[in-house]
Amino acid sequence: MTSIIVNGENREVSNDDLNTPLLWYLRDELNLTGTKYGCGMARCGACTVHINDVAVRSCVTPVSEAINTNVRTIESVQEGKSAVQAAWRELSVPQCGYCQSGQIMSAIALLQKKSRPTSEEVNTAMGGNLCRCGTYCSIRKAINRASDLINGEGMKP
Amino acid sequence: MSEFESTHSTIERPMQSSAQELPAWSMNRRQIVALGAVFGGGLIIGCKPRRNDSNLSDDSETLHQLSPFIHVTDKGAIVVYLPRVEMGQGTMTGIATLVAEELSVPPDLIDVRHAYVSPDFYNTSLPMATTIAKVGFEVATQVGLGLQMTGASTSMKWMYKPVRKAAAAVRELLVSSAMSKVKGSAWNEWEIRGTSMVRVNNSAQSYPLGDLAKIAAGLPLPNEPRMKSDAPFSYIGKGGSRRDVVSKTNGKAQYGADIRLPDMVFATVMHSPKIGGKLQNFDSTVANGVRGNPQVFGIRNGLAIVAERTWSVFQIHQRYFDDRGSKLTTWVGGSNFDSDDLQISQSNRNIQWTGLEVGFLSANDPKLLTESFINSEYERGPKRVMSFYNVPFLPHQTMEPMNCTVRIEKGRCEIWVPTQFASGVRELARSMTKLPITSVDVYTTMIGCGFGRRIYLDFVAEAVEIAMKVNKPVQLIWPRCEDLQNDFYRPAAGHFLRGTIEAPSRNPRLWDHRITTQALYPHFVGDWAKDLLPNWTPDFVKGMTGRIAEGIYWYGIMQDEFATEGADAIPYSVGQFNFNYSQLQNPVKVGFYRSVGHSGNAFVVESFIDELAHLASRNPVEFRMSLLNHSPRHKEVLKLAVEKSGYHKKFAVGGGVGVAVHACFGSFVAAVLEVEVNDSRVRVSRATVAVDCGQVINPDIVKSQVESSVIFALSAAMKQKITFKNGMVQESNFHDCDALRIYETPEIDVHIVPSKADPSGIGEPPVAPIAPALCNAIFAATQIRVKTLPIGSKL
Repeated sequence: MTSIIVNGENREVSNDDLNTPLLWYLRDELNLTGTKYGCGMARCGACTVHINDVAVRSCVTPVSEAINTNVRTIESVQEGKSAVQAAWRELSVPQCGYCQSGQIMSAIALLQKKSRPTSEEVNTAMGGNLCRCGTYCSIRKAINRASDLINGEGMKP
Repeated sequence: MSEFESTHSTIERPMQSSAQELPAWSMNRRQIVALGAVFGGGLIIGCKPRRNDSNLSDDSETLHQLSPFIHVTDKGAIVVYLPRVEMGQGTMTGIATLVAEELSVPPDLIDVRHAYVSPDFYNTSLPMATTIAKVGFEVATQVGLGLQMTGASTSMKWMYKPVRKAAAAVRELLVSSAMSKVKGSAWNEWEIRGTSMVRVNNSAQSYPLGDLAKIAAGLPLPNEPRMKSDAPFSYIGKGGSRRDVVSKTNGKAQYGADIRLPDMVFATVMHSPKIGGKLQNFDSTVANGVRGNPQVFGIRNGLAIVAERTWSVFQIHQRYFDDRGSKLTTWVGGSNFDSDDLQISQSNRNIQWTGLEVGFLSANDPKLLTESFINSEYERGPKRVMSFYNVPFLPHQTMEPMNCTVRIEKGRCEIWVPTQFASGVRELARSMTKLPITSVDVYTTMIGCGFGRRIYLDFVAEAVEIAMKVNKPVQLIWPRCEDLQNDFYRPAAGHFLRGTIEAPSRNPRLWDHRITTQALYPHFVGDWAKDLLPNWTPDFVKGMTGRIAEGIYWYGIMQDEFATEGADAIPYSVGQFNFNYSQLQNPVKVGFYRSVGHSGNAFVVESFIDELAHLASRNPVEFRMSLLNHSPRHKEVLKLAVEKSGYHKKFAVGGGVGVAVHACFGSFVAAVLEVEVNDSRVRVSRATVAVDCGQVINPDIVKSQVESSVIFALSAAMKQKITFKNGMVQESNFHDCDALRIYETPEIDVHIVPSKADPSGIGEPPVAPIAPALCNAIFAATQIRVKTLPIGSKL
């Protein structure tokens, strides 16, 4: 038996699961349904999670690549403790909301690396996350707001 | 308190059956509901509220129904049932705002849930253009039949008055209940605080809402509840955060594919690679070696794949899909349609589209100008222009692919589905399972984009069929490629226009517009007709009615208004207006799409008026303004967008700035777009949009709907099309049919015209003027007139 750490908890992985994309392991085995399926080929970003603080597309990442790593999903974003989540709520970013778990995980990864990203850096980090409702304008504003919360009020991304 | 997650609930309805307790009007209550007057008091006839346990929680609660829309729990929580669905457009927040206003409580106190199917919630605002459809729909409405459907930008428009009236009636009932406890207290001394009704100047006199609701349910109804006057409102017209924002930022919002049931299996369907093909044979050994007890079997729509995990199902699907029907599956029939055949061009000016069209249907319409008259008018000029425009098939590409979860157990059929057409889902499941309609429950989940796609029931039929075959709860989910290739597309259309400009006035003299496209009706009217017929109608009669209705439109006996809307009448004064539509009988499934016919027709009309302005050597804004004297609301939004964008200054110095104005779904929208064109590559830098959508319920949501529409329309205009070759869709995922990305998104400024007119649509109207404003801006920058969409990576 091998294991991975998901949202701080040690999870056993059966050999059968090693080739399964992390997305389906999270959704179907661990019942963590906050991470969404959108395209299955890393084109839309709805399935974005962190592996060791790096944003990855879980739909094309086999579970084997996550062995002995820290996997972080939207479910780990703690109420009241995340600048990104707070900014997202303050500015009412989501519309249908389906892509927002992925958007939020991409934004957190970006702000963990750089708390005041330039607009080019925002474009690069968020460019892989599609939103068909078109919440991009709000996402830009919310990333700036989260940046303020991190730098001004010491919140974590 | 949860914002929308519903719990196992028992709805306790007052047992009020004695006739003398019922007000006289209650006997034709449905009629009253249909007319928009909604009252409380538990006097619900012919509607059976049901638990809505979409999250399968074990918590139980008792609900007292004071109005179909508004229930109060034993614990005093105010529960509002949302008759339309939340798919991002903000209806949950909208209804909470309306109820909050009349109850005088903060919207946060209100728990909004998707409604069950009930005549109280049928959408009577759906536009029906043809006389027969209008009369049929009206008659159905009067006898309590209808469609519980979210579409046509009608949600807030429909809810605005009845929901406020219901909330006002509920407030009156609750206050009366409190007054019955404190004799001599006055109506205006009471207010709801938290879960209690409190006497304002004596807060010791406080009664739990749950207790009052029990009393209220037995009180006579206020016929004309005291409504708040239109102004000043406390919540309506103010901003404020969305009701669904918490669950949509912590992963807890439950979409269709997030439903988990005990013993549930997952399923998907491989559809015919060619349009309309039928499965003949398949190699079932493809599933060998995949874990999760896979099964593969034929169903009506194709090949069903079932297993215990989504990934197993998708792996097997991929093997069949990659083979595209060459060896692993064989299919019979199906069309060899090629979308290149639809291109309309100068060399083909009679618009003969490979014999597909029914003919110029309205050629005998006496209102039409004669061909020889148009020809001679056109030749007279003196300045004249002829143009061909082409718009492509477009996919909805909802972020959440089609899915549906079905459990058929112990004589009940339960369906969890992200749908825009809950009553249609129920009727379809009834007809397939042959269960009584009361044994079919539809739980609408959160919806990952709708755009009109989820008005269709194809995937629901598949899920029910599979659940009946495997005798287990089933979650059907389509992989992206099936979603993209089995859509009901926005139809492709060819447009042929001729126009002339008079010599001295430089005004348009002739406007001749011909559209060739498919009708939407044959693909939906059958399902609608079946759902509109009374429950006792035998299934074969329903089936026949559906087929006849579809045939009437397929053969062009009735004309499809969605093909022509936005072009069959124009707001501009022109000397001679002529419009002609010829219907294509084409095998491609086509359907409702955000802004429907306006999505393509506004592009053409607003591009062509720009062509005429150019021909007349007049400024595009001044030209439009001078021809809009009959429509002040068009003029007002156009003026606002032009002013706020600084259009004139930019246009004067040759900037890439373009304008368009269009009205649909009762609202008026003008857009000014600014582009930079380098090396034939177009970048949109700014969009300024002005809207008049009547009374605004939440300006923040209006703004986000406009931003959403701009991005949706730019995705289509710049990037998207669906191509058919040999009957097969060529695109399969976001790599070959992408949508706008954050780095391509312009600055978007939204301006709202203050209005006291009744609310009108906002989800769809702003889509219409974006593509023409974009192409008019490209013309201003380059003198290149874009007449075929999408623009693609280079001009």
